[in-house]
This record gives sequence, C-alpha cells and structure tokens, in this order.
Amino acid sequence: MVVRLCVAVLRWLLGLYPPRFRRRHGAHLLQDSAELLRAARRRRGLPGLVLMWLRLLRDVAVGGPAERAAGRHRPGRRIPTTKRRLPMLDELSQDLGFARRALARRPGTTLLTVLILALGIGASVSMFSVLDAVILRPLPYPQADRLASIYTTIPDWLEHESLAAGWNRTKWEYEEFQEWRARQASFEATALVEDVSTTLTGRGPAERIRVGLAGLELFELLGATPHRGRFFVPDDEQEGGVAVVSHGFWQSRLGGEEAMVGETIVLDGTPHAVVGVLPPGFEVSGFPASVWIPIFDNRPGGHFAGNTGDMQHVFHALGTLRPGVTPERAAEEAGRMLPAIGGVEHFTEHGAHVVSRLADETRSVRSPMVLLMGAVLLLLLVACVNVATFLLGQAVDRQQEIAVRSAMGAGSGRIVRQLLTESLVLALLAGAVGLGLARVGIVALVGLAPADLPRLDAVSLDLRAAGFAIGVSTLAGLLFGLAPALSLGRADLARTLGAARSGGAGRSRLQAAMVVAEMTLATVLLVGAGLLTRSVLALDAVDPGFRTDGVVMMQLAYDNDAYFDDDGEFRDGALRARVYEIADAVAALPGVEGTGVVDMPPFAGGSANTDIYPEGVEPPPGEFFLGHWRFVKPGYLELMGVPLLEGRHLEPGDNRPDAASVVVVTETLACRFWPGESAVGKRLGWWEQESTIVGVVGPIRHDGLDSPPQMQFYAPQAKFRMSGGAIMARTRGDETTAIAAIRELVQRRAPELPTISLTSMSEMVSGSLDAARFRTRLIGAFALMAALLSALGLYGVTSRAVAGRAREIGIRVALGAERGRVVGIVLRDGVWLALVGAAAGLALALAGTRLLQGFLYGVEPNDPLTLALIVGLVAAMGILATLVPSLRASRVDPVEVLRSE
Amino acid sequence: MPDDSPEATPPESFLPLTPNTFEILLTLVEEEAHGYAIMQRVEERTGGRVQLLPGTMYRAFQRLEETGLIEEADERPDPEVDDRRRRYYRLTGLGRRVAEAEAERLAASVRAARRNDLIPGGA
Repeated sequence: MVVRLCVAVLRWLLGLYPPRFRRRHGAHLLQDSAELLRAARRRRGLPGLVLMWLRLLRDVAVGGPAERAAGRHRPGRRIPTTKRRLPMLDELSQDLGFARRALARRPGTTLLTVLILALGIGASVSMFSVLDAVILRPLPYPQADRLASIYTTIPDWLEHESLAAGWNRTKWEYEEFQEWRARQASFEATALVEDVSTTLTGRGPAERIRVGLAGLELFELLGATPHRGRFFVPDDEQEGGVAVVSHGFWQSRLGGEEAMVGETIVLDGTPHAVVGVLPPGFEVSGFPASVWIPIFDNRPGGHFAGNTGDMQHVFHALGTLRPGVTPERAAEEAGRMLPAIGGVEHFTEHGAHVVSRLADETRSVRSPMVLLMGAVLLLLLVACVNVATFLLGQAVDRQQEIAVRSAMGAGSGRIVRQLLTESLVLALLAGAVGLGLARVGIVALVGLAPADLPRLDAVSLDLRAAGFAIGVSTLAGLLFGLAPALSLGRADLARTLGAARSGGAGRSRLQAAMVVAEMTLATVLLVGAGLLTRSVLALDAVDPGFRTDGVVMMQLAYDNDAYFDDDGEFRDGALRARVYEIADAVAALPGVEGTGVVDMPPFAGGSANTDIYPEGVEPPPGEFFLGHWRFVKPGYLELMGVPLLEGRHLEPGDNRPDAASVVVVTETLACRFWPGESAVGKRLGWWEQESTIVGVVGPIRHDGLDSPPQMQFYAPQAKFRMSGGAIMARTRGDETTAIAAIRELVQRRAPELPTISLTSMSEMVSGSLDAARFRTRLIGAFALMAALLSALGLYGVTSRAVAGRAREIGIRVALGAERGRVVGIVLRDGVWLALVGAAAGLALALAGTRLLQGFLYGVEPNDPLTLALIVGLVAAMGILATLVPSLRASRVDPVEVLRSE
Repeated sequence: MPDDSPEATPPESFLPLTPNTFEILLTLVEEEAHGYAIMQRVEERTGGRVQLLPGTMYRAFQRLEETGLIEEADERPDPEVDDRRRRYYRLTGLGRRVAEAEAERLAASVRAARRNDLIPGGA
C-alpha cells in the first residue's frame, strides 16, 4: 500500500523524462523502484523504506531534466543496430494472426480463391499419386535400384520394319546365357525368367494359366524366402515334375494353411508336385504367374526344356548390378563377350542392352504419364495466375488497411512478408481441401485408366502424395502471392492515403498481363487437347483391313498331351479335326453366319515371322527379307471380309498334306517385291520349301490401328501340319447372346477344352484405343477447366476496368457517344487480350510440338485447321467473357457518374 | 556522435568510463541480466560502495544502447515476479571490447600505483 503510493509519486515525476525514454524504460524503472522499496522495508522497516524513497525521488527528479538536456531523444533518432528484434517465432505468430484476420474479413474472396486453388491442387495431387505408383515408386525388392533387365541386341533387325522396335530387347538362349554369366563381372547375381501358357487341370474346371519358368537363382535374386517348403534346387532340373506356387494360389486352390503338405497339380497333362510356396504378396516383376516351374527341364519331351525341339526357346534375364556399375558399362562388357560366345548364327554384331528394371517395366507408360503430369501442372499454373489476378484486383480495397499497418511502424519488407504469409495460409488451406478432392480424383482416375497400366492397384493417397500436396501448395502460394504482395507492400505511404486511384494504372496493366498469361496457358492446353482429339478420331477411322463388327474371337487351349501318340509323335491331324469339328458346330448355331480358323488372330498380340525368298528378288548382301506367316483353314480370309484383289482364295483342296504348296499374300507383300506386276503365279520360298502365290488380298493391320500393314502370307494348316489357334465366328444380331450360345456349345461338346477367351473383335479393336482415349479425355478436361478459369479471369478484369473507367465512359456518353460504340470499345479491349494470349499460346505450343509428336496420329503438330479452330475458340471465349461487362458499360448513366465526382 | 556501425568505432574512444557504466558492463560480462539483477549484483560486488538507482541505471542503459555497447536480449518472465516481464540486456561485441579496454586501463593504473608505492605489492 505504502509502496504503491510511493511508486505513484515516482510515476508522476517520470513526466520529467522525455516521452521516448518513458515509453522505453518507464515501466521497468517503476518496477525496479517498487522492488527496492519493498526490499528496503524488509531489511530496515518503515524508516528504511522512506529513506529509499527519498533517494529514489532525488534520482528521478535529477535524472529527468538531465536526460532531456542530453538531447538524445529528438524524434527520428532510433537506437542504432540495437533495435528491438522480436524473436522469429513471435513475428511469425503475429503474421499468422494478421493473415487469419485478413482472410476472415473477406470470406467471399477467401472461399473463391480456396476453391479455385483446391481444384488445381487436387487435380495435381491425384495425377501425382498415379504417377508415383506407376512409374516412380521403386520395385518391392531389396536393392531394387540395382535390379536390371538384361537383353541381347540384334542390330540387323533395325533393317526390318516389323522387327525394328525390338532390336535391342531380344532374349537369351539358355547355353549362351550360362556361358556369359560365368564370365561376366558386372552383376553380382543373375537369373533367367520366362512364362508360357499351359492348361491346369485337376483343380476345378480345366483352365488356361500363365506358368512362370524360373531360373534357379530367380527367387533369391528378388529377395524372396519360401513361405513354406523350398524353392528349386539343381536336382529339380534333372528330375522335373516340381512346382512352386504363389501364396494366393496356395490359399485359394490348394487349401492354404489347412491343407496337408505335398499337393500335386497337373500342367498340360503332366503332374507336378508342389514343393514350395512364395511369400504373401510376392510377384516377379513383369511375370504375374501364380505357378512356377524350373526353367530347365531335362526330361525327354519336357515341354519347357531349354534345349530341345525345333523351336528355340529364349528367355528373359534379370540381374543385380554390382554397386557402382552402370547399366551402360555392363552392356558394354557383355557386348564384348557375346560375339565370342556365339549364339544365334544368323545375326552379326550380337550385343547387349542393360536397363533398370523399373524403367523397363514402365517404358511404355512413362511418356504418357509425364505428359499428363505436365498438363495438370499447367492447369495449376492457370489457377495460380487466376487467383493472383483476382487478389490484385482486390488491392484497391486493401490500400487503406495496408496504409494503417505501415503507419503503425511496419516496414515495407515486413508488410510484404505479412502478405506472403497470408497467401501461404490461403494456399495451404486450399491444399488441405485439394487433398480431400484428390481422394475423389484418384478414384476417378483409376476407374478411367486403361486396365493394363502397371501397378494401378497400388495407387493411393499416401505420405508421398501429402508431401507433394504441401510442396505444391507452398509453391503455389508463393507464386500467386508474390505479385499482389509486392504491388501492395511497396506502395508509397503518402500516395495511398492521398489520391484514390493512384498506382492503379500499373496494377491494372499487371492484371491485364496476367490474364493474357492465363489465356496463353489455356491455349497451349487447348491445342494439345485438340490435336490429341483429332488423333483419336483419325485412329478410330482407320480401316484395319478386316471386318470387326459382329466378329467374335474364341481362343481355345488344347491339351497337347492328348494328341501325342505313344511314339512321341504329335497327331496334328487329330487335333485339327477336333478344332474344325467345333468350328463347324459353332457355324451351325442360329445367329452365327460362319466360322474360320487361324493360328494367330489380329489384335491379340501374337505374330510370327520367318525369312522369305521372293522369286526374282535378291535382298541386299548379308540381309534377308522377313514375312509374317499365318496358318488358316481355307475360308478364314473371306469370313473376315478381307477383299480379294487378284487370283483366288485358299480352297479346301489346298488344305491337305499332299496338296501343292500354295499361299495367299497380302497386297503389302506383293507390292513390296513385285510392284507393278501381278504376284499371282510367283514363287515364295520359306521354311526350306517354295510355295506358289495363288491370290493377293487387301492390306491387314495385325498389331494395331496405328501400325502399318504387315507383309503376310496365308498358308493352309493341313499342308504344314499346323493345328490349334483361334476360331473366329461371324455373328448376326445381338453379339452378347451369340457369345453366350457359343460358350455353352463348346462347354457341352468339348469339355476338355478350356476356353482362354471369347471376345468381340470390335471391342478388341476399339479397346486398343483405350489408352489414347484416356489421355485425350484427361487433357481435354484440363484444357476446358483452364479455359473456363481464364475466361473468368478476363471477365473479372474487364469488369474492374469498366468500373474504373466509369467516369470516362460517362463523359463520352454525355458528349454524345453512342452506347453501341462504348460496348464496342470494351469488347475490343477484352478480345484483344484474349487474342494476344492465344497468339502467345500458339507460339508456345508450336515450340513444344516435339513433346506431343509421339502421341499424334494422322495429324501434324502444326496442323493449321486445329490451330485455327482453337484461336477461334479463344476469341469466342474472349467475346463471351467481356460481353456482360461491356453491356454494363453501355448502361452507365453519365449523370450518376458525374454526380459522384 | 558515434557512427552507426559499431565495428568502425575504436573501443578506446569510449574511455574513460564512468564508474557506474563500468560496473554495468562488468556485470554483463558474466551473463545477460535484467535491470534489477544488475542493481543487486553491483551492490554485492562492490560491497555496497556503488549503489545503482533505477533512474541513473536506465539512463545509463539508454546511453549504452544508443552507442551500441549493450543490446536487448530476450524479454522473458521473471519466475520470482510472476507475470511481470523483465527486459534482459547483454553486451555487444563492441561493449565487450570497451569493457576490456577500460579494465586494461584500470589495471595499468594499478600497476603504476604499485610501482610508485601508492598501494602495496609493487614489482
């Protein structure tokens, strides 16, 4: 109580001190004085206190005037370099508080900007999740970064159009591989792997499955240990008859945990004992087989022996590179060794190609994914610029607020920092919403994506995606926040408190520039979408060379073992008869017009070729000609609607082992070797015999709509002892009922034949465009969103411009200008912005055309029609966006405007 | 007027320091401290010979801050005086150099005094 009185007097005396001193030290001074007084009273009671108080009185009374006299407290003087510096954290929390309040003060703006950004961020995060799962995430094996695919190369193949694509991805022969592996030093482990189709029986209905062929070291190389039992040992290769199964197969087919050990499965008629189970979830990358057998099977007649039979079996190879060895070095080393080891005699300059397994697995999807990611990031960029333009437009409203902050002592650097913090908060908020949108986006993407996209099932919104979201939001926040922050923060204090529209001219120019930027980016996306759409349309219109509507393809699997007689001879005649019998039965069904048989139907991924010797035509020295063979039952080409151009089709008379050797060739082959003449009657050598060409049919695209027609020749099956293959049926009426009827018939008449597939050709052919359609639709969606955003941006900017020029417009109208002219002026300005943006976008698109080249078909990247269409579209957008503001301008009442001056 | 960059100012230009000033600097050599603590420690160290009072002390703080010899450290709550925030001060590099210079000056004086037998312990 007493102390407080004393301090009160002291406080009154403090008035003697200069105000600055009082502000800085006054409180502390009084605090300490109070302490001293209390301490004095504790030590010496009331007299002590009074004594201390008197001393303090004198101290303060003398000091005040002295301090004033020292003249240090002139206004403008600051304490140099010992400025009070808030700890960083304090400043940040203050900035956050400012941001929060500023955003809350304008809920409409905040909501709009968050939504726009969330759209861009959500789309980006969704696409990133897919990209990550499909091509970025490492394979789930130990040392996956050193896992590589090892191919041999046959440079000669570059000469042949149909082989060129695979010239550096040829497979290994068994002996060749063993020799190389013994000598090489680049890999610490290697293994062979392959897969084949076989028929599984004995476990439910006969089924066609992919069985994997595993080199002894394969599972170890991939870091797998047996979940049960063991993996293969060298003895297995001698004895054969063993298998290792996947965990899923074991659970679903062999009873899993409850089963007894030592199950047997029957593959192609041969029993195999299950000796081991792979770990749960384990898969060999690129070989999704659920049953594995040793790659080398030394038993006589063993189907998968590495060294038997007329057909050379060739295999894939995997290896783990030694640390520090690059794929290139390993390939080089192998390239040096291989010619010495020998191998396939035909080909010279046998080399090697080593590539990271992940890159190999994803090579076909890499560029499309990157393209899509690029497109979505462009969309995000448009969203950022859109928001920035919008915020700039708000700048005028915020000038007062900023001026107040500046007067309170915040330097321009501090203000810019505060505004950026605000943008970052906005962006991170949008990022959170975007993450939520991404959950939906991912579901949509996965649903729409072509089913053969690798690792599609691994797409999820995980930590990496969240990290990407945070990163992208931060960048976005900095991006769109910079312009408004700099523009606002550095405004001169006096000027903003003075004139109403000063600084506006520069700002509106900046806004216009930003709208142009938006239009540019949107144009780029629109051009891309337009070109891709035209490509898809062009592909859709391609004639594959055969009929697709109503055609159903049935691929049967034959238990080959049933057709081996006791001497080990393959009874091809019996198998062929069986197939023809089924084909005839199907042809007799109501709803089926006819059937045909071919060994390798188009669009099903199979093709086979051999060297051919056309009469009278010599290949260049050291090279050879390649032709693709198809074995058919006469009537196939007619059924498929392939037009006959010359000569005749194959006839039943040709389809006998003792008939003369005849073939029918496609126009592509005929024109290649005998341009300008008729190929009918010419001789074609292949498989160590010669055939006479009896007919020429139209071109056939076998591999895909975008592949060139193949050089094919069709030969009768019986003559060459071929059998098996697919039955093609031409249906009429409803395809689905026809398919069901066919399936039922086959199951009834030929229960020993498990069908592989029963598909509609038209679905197959149109399905081959799935990937192209997917990316076209996505980019189209992005382009439309970007266009919409930039149109909105243009609308906003024009509206503000009209509002800002209200005075000028009012005067013009008052002076007699027609309203129509006013509308015209505003429209012209707006469309001009759109056109400038379109022009810049065109230039950018043309510059980047190379990127799109690989995805286009039947249209050039600089296709004038598409470009003209897009420019027209953007111009129309510009008109629409500025229409409403321009009409508003025309309704400006000059009296109102002048009155408000 | 001292120029605004402390590095440019030679420490010697501040000498001699007033006894109060030197006591404050001396206290801050050990560690950063707030006003009241400085008052107490000076009183302890000098055995009551020098008693800083708040008015004098804060004027000295003002001067020392302006000339760049001390600077404000964190402001943190004093655990003994709940809720009241104390402003802590600390020496700047220049302040340290000035304190050293002054100490050296005083030491030189003591050496001279010893040599002239003004105080015992001459050598």
